[in-house]
Amino acid sequence: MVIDENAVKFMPRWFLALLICASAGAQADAVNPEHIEFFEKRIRPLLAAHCYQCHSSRAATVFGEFRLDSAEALFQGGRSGPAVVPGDPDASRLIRAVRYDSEGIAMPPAGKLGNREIEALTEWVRLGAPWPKDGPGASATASAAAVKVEDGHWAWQPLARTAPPKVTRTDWPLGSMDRFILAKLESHGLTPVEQADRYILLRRLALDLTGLPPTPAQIREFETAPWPNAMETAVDRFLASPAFGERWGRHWLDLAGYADNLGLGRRIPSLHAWRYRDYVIDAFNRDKPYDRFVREQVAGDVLAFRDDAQRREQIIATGFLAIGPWALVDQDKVQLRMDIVDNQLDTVGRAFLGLTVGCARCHDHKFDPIPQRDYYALAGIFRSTRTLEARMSGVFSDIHRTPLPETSAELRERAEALEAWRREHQRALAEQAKAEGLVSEMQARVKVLEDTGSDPASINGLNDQLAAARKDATTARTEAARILHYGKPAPPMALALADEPEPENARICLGGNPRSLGDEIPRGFLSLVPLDPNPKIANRRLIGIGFQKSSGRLELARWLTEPANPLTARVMANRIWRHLFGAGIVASVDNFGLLGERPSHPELLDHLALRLQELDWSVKSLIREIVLSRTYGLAASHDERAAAADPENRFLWRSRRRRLEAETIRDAVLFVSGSLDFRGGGPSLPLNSPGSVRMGQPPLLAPKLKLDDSVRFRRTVYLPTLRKSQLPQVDVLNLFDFPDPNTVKGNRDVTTVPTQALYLMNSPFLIEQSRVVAQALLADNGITEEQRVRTFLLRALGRPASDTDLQRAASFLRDTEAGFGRAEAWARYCHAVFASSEFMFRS
Amino acid sequence: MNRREWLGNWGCGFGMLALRSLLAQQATAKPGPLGPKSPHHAPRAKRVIFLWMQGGPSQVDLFDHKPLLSRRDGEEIPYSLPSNRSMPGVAYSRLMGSIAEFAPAGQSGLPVSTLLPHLRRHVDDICLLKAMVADSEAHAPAVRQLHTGATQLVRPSIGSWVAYGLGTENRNLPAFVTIAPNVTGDGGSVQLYGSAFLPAVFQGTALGSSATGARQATIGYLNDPSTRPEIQRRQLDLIQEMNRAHLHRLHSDRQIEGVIESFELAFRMQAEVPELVDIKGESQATLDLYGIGAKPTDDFGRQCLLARRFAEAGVRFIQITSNGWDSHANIRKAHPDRCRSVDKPIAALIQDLKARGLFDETLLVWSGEFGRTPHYQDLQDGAGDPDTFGRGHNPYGFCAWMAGGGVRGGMDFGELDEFGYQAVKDKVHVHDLHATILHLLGLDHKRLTYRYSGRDFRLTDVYGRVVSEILA
Repeated sequence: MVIDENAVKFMPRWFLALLICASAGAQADAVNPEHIEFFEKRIRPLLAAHCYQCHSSRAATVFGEFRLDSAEALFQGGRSGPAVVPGDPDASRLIRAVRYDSEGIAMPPAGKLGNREIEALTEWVRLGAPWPKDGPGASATASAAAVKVEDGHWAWQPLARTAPPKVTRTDWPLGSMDRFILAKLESHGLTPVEQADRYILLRRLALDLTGLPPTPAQIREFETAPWPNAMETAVDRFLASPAFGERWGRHWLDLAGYADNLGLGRRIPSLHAWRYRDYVIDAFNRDKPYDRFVREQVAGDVLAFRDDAQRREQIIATGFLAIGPWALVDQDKVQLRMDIVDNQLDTVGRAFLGLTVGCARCHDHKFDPIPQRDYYALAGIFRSTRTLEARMSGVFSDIHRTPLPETSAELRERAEALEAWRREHQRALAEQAKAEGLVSEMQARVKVLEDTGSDPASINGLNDQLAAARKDATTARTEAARILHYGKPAPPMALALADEPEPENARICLGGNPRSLGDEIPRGFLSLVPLDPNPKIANRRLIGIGFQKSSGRLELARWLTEPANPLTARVMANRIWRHLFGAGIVASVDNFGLLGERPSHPELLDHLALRLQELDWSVKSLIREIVLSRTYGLAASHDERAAAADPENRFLWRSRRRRLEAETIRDAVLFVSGSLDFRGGGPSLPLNSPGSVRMGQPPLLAPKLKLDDSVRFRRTVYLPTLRKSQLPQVDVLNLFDFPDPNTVKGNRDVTTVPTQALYLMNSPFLIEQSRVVAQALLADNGITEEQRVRTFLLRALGRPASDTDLQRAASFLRDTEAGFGRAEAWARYCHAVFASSEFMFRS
Repeated sequence: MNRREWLGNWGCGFGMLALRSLLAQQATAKPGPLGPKSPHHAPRAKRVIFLWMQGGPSQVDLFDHKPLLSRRDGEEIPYSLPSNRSMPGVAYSRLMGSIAEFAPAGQSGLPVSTLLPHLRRHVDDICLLKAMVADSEAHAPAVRQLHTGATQLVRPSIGSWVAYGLGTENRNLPAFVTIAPNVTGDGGSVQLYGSAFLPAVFQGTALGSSATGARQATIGYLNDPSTRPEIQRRQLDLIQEMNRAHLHRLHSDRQIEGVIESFELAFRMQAEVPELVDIKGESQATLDLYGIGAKPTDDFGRQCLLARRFAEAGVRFIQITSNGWDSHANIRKAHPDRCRSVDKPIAALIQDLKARGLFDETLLVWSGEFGRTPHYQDLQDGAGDPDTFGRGHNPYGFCAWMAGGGVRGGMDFGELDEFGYQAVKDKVHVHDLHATILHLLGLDHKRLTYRYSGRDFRLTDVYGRVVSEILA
């Protein structure tokens, strides 16, 4: 993150007010730096988190005309007089308010602060309410030791095991998870709604676990099978389906910066990126333990391996950090390198830890205890890691690639391909020689005509032919060169990380400027999660048959996945919950820091995180436990009283209805129309037909890239993902909030805009697929019109048609058929069902 | 306003209204997230037309007359170049005098290149920013900065910020449109009209792309050519009937209500947008004014005319693009060609806006992502013919201009050094340009914030100064 050190002035706006008011606070003149640090570390974040929504210059309405965002405002107070009497907590309104012991005023209104927070505020007032004179950030190089982990924020506390609470309705919970949910509901006087009907439940389960609707056969089996076996059988079947990894792998790719072209704003194909995508899908399908999954993605290239297959897989895994939105043409390579390191830190921070580590590039993190030193301790690890190598050409850097160990079959195949390539090149050279020969011949003839003074018309005619011959020769030359430079069969490659031969610590970049260097910081980890002992970065380690120096990534991978690191398990358990319930227990799934959201059910979150660890980090097992709960089975029905008390449904009194994701819309339509091609894996770009070949330059994708026919009806996860907008043939992705592959996006946007409705009404994709499904329905002569509607609605909506459905269909078909024919009427009917909200939403 | 609030406003209570009465009641309908919002202070302009000169026009050939540069043509470069950058052929570079003549124009007498004969007539309407600076010398980062403020990171574009801050004046249209945007060329990208972390409703709606050209610029999926309007109406009625039945079973659901409204708006757009983008109804005189139908000016003329039509219809931010200013070689031919393609259309746009009384409430902004070097670039490393020379990228000093709502006409502001290389006085950084644009629209660039990922973001990050010297 490129932020000038002045960024502090803006994070957030009340800092500006503070600067303006700094001269007003007499108390600020002679303050002790330790007191200021105490203020910055403990008090300011606390005020920001709990008070500024209403009591700052940023607030829409400043309540009580009282602000807490500058010294001046603080000592002046609001309508009721000064808030703080420096040195006298008991006389200070602020303290009385947070203690909830004054008459009338009890703050914050959302709930009393923790004892520790109240003590901190009291201590601060006792110290004289020190407020920094200058803008914050004066202590930018403050020592990490000052940050005490036991202080404060919930997210970096160790995982706590809490016994599932007692509940009144003892017959409701099916397991511990339900008891946490029900206890919270009961404590707020809420009652959960009824369970969803079986049709809704099965469609929900199928979409959540596989991203596809259930088949009519599955529905028929599920509606009559004995309970609860029916549920367990269905869950196990979906978990075992290859579609599971395609669905959950895509969730992971939302965090990974994965795309099939390189570099921001470039059409350079990323030839090998698909291997990482396939690795992710495969990892979820084989239920690779999550801790191992993390370790492989951070340090797969330096992990021990049993055989070539494992080594290969682990190298590919590091594509997580090797593939990203790099500005490969940046002329300032020093800056580029630190920008990449920054992006990698930010990705590791957000994806695994839910921390915005990137904020500490230019100064200590303003809210979370991440000192700038910690940033550079981690930065040293990634500076000692090779992500880019040399240049493709000119100012184009290239991503580091590692040749993968080949199986004997692959070696044989490649030897054959090489032979074919040689022949092809020979043939192209022959073509070139022929074309060039023709040019010389024509040139000679033109010369003869000119020398003999022939008539201009015949010279011109010949000249035109010469121009055409020259053009042919150029084409032949380019083709021969293309085959030589770009067509040679190469061993399989992965875009992957590697350790630099000479690892080195990073030096602090003052104000984020890589040319203005401060202290050298030993490589290490974040001090807010100190492990006992922290992994030590080995200077030399035995790798294969030789010693190698370590960047520290291997140790980072271990630090991330030690069971004592509470963040990794919490963040992942929360992500799983988010995908199943539509919102995380911590709503800000990528930010667990002080400015992130608080957990709605902290004990449940820790319960889930511990379960993830106890289940040997098996993602499938945790999903299984969750979806078999009573809570997951809730209906999405409305309840006036509950809606008034908890409009956001934070406590889960019902299920959350949500629109299908972009790729699920496409996959579900293809699935229902019967067009879906279930094959998966392998490259998704037409790799052998670059749009242009400029010698010495990377090949570029054609400007009007089209989906290769071989992948056209595959699941969306197997289509090319581009760093710019997605292909016009899958415009559904551009319109329905498919995430920008250049960002970490654990919570996708869900927008409702008219251009989506235009797409649903008029896109060739929906028109075509509606025709396909209508044709198939009409082809079955043995059924009645009513049975046809029933068949289609069961497949599309996952439920039997109601009488109203049948009447509505009959009336539409009758009216439309009269003027426009049966085929058109049916296509239009199917199209309308695809565009309807019931199809587009998962209840 | 946060995301939750605007989602809350989005289409409340719409679902139950019958379709046709809803169409009739447009005027009383509740605003969606795009509904008009109050600015921070009294605005001087209601909307922006942003003219991006892709590639970087040369300031010393268009707007900044540097006699000394011409006198010392062919001499060694007297100023020092940044050491950490590499530029092909720079070792052979020498100073190159302006390729064009300059002469005073208008009542103000500002010298403007004779390559822009039509614009010269309007010099008293424009304010030249003669000491612009940007942070990057490569296209992609510089282009990103001009459009989003940030060189490397994915940030909302200025049009998205404006849509977020002000909403739209016309409920039947998006608040931000970009005509034939460059999405594949040097620095071109959907990011240039993307909303990044702002809700997607604020992103620019693209009409075509530079690949298809302005002639084919339209909003996607506006009609279904495979069917007749009666069927489509009937089909939409069926969809809405099913949606309302769905909503009825659920009792209450804001999202489904939003879906129902989006179908109605889409239907209204189907009716309004095709007419809006169809310029057939314009008089021949108007088409001629913009140079539509004449080869060099046709594409940009169409963009300018569409921009005027969208401005008139109440769109807040309209972006148009002229490609091909990146003259590393053959600038003596390429720049005059480029000037020919934009000069007449831009003058027509100013004249047309004035004639319709829109000029004073519309802000025009013209800029490249950077300018060009006063020294030449010889891509053949010293062996090239001087006629093939071009100029390199220059973010250290270049020219832009603003005109219309709230800007003083006939003035220039800022100075480059005497060779036209580096800004030396009254610099205007891209961040300052952004702050000034927002200011003129009634928005305080320090208060227009959006909370994302734990902190408040601004278009101008921690920078930006409103260039009050140029305000009328």
